[in-house]
Amino acid sequence: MKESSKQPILSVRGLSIDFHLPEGVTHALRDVSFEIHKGETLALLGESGSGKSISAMSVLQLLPYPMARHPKGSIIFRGKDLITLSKKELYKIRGNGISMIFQEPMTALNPLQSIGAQVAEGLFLHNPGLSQSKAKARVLELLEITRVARAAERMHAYPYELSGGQRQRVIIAMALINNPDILIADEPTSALDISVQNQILQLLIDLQRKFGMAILFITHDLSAVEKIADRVSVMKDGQIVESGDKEQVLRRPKHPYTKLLLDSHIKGHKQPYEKDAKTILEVAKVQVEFPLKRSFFGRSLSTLKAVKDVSICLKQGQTLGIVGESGSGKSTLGKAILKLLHKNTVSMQSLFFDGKDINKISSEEMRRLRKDIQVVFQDPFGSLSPRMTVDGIIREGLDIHFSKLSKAEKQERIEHVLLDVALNLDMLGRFPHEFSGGQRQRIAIARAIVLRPKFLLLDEPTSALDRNVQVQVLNLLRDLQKKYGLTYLFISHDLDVVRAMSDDVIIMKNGEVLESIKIGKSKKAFLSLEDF
Amino acid sequence: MEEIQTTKKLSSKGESLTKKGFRSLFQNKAALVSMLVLGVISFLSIFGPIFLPNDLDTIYWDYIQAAPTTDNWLFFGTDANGRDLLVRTLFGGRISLSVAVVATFVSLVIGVAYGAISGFWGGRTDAVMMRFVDILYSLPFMFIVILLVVVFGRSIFLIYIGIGLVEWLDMARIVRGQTLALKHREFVVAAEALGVKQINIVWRHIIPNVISPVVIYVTLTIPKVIIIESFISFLGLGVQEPQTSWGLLIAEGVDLMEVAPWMLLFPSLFLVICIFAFNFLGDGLRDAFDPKTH
Repeated sequence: MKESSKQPILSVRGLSIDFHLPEGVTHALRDVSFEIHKGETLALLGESGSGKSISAMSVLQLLPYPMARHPKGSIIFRGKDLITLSKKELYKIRGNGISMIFQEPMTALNPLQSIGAQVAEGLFLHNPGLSQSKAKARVLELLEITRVARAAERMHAYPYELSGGQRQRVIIAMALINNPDILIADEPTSALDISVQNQILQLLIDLQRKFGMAILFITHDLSAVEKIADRVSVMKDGQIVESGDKEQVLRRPKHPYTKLLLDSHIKGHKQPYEKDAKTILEVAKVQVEFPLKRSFFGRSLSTLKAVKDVSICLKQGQTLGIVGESGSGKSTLGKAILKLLHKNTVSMQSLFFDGKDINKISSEEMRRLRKDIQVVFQDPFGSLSPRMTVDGIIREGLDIHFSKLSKAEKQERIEHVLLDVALNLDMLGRFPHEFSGGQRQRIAIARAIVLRPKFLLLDEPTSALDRNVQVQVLNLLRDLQKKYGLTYLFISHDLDVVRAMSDDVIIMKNGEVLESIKIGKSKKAFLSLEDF
Repeated sequence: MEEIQTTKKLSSKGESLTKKGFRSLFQNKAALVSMLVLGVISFLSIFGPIFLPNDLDTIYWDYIQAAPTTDNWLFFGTDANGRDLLVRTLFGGRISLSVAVVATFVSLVIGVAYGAISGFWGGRTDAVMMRFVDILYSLPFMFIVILLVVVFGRSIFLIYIGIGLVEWLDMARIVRGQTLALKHREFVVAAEALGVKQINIVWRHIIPNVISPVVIYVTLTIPKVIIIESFISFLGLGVQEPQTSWGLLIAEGVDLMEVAPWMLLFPSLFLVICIFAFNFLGDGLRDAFDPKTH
């Protein structure tokens, strides 16, 4: 298609990267080769730790040298090997011949500089002596090309005034200001909402058509690869295991790892719960208001309504999925039901748990009830106390709620729960940072279910995990639900996951329920989810 | 499960962080040497003046401002009044080290507890508690010390109390700031969801995680406290002649630096060595009790 028979514009040959650390040498990348031609998109696909990001960083020589070293290999751009280039020559290429956009639009911009100034910076760096008015015109042009809304006004805005998607557009404008030959995009959409993701991908495709630059697209997201890539290289443990045309790699994978990646999505449906099951949780008209501005005496002058009049009802064994974009109030709703928010911000008409009215109970009564109402959070790196051992983390709840159990009984429960979540007993003495994301999430699940709760709030429990780990954790959650008759409130932004996990789904937007859908009854009804 | 097999070798099960911490502390050479140095200096300071033949206020009329000599055990020379500088330096160590340790400890305990509670409870509690800190901040330090001396008379304990009273304010602010950042982390919310009592969340989940900045601040506080003590004593509100402290000895030494350099050299050498040792020990402690360094 876009492939040209001419010389590749960038070719990486046999590249290796070693990190020389005080603890020893790590071989982060081994013998990686790829090339990109003008106007095409090469996707580097891999899970976290596969070396895809450091491959991208090494192209612009942005690794922490001299800690990082290249024992072998070359990176040829415009006939020169970037590895052997002097700093001065590199500066000429960075942001000019090759530029880069990053994953996190929230932190990739300087918070204290206006958008316009930041976009113009690269322009002045590579075109000394450019007049202010010309630069301004060029910046505005770029912001319009990248479809920043109200670009002329926004030039004087600061990053905090823009949404994530708008910021990512600004970052793309920064990268394109000097008409680079190659754009390196390091997970440019992973931190964004799904609908915004699609817009940004489309923008990149359009820009490529217009300017003809090559794109090196780093991602772990198969659907993004599907949309944007011409060719794909699959990475694992610092090596490229398979590369080729998109069609060939995605449709007819050869390497077992590629097959595993492609196969990593949750299958099947949840078994329906019993129709005459008793009601576990019933909550009517939840409202959450956060104060935005307070008067001198602490009265709130203006508020943000994060959740507006939401009612839900859950039967034993049921899973209710809540879908929505970030800022839709889905997590806030979960926290409000669990009484984890400040009580002045939450109001509800009624809240029944297991037949008991718990709307107005004291915090001490609520504390005792928490053994039945547990939660697993999104971020497995933040939700475990860094200075406690796995044993301490799991034991803490037992010590609080089951203080009457003997030492041996507690030990037995802990060992049992570890088996449930498929962790080894000898992991008990270790600290959270020694584990991978998936293992940490298992620890968090163990902490919750060791108390044998009746109800479990799952707040995006897998969205921070790699795809195949995600599948393992989701299957685990389904198994546990069956085994212990758990009731789940499952919050997610991932439609496939919600579809596989839930009986019913509600869709939230701006704090309101847009729609409730029963999955079990009609598969078709769920299709309307795709449109949202 | 592939994921599980790839994790590192097993660490021995059930060993507490405290045990692991002390083990790695003793493996840290800089920290070990520092502990030894501090131990030796403390030992000499406590027992030296008892066993040395000269008293704190013995005056050798033939050896006014004499350079170090072996006569009469005057290994560090004498001061402007002909008193044995070795005994005076060691005795000064008693005062300086005890002030450093006690005042820092007081500021550590009060500051960490106050800051963590204020930050964690937040809202009105926080506002009231921090305004109280602001008020104490705004009172001139010397004014408080003079007031204490007027009311209670002169005593070394007043120095402990006076300095401790002021130093915990900084510590409380630092810990409060850290706590504010920590309390919105998910593991704290998770602890609340688990049903942990508020006070135990502060104790088990907040305080262990503020250790790094606290240790750094403590190593800064110790030399500061030693200097403050000498300042108070210099004004005549603290230690009184013939008793002395390192800060006072250094102040005297500075005046006579050109004619009797040993008067400056020996006490400052002790002070510098101790401060280095406290710093290395502090770094060692911080690393030893951080699970990430194991």
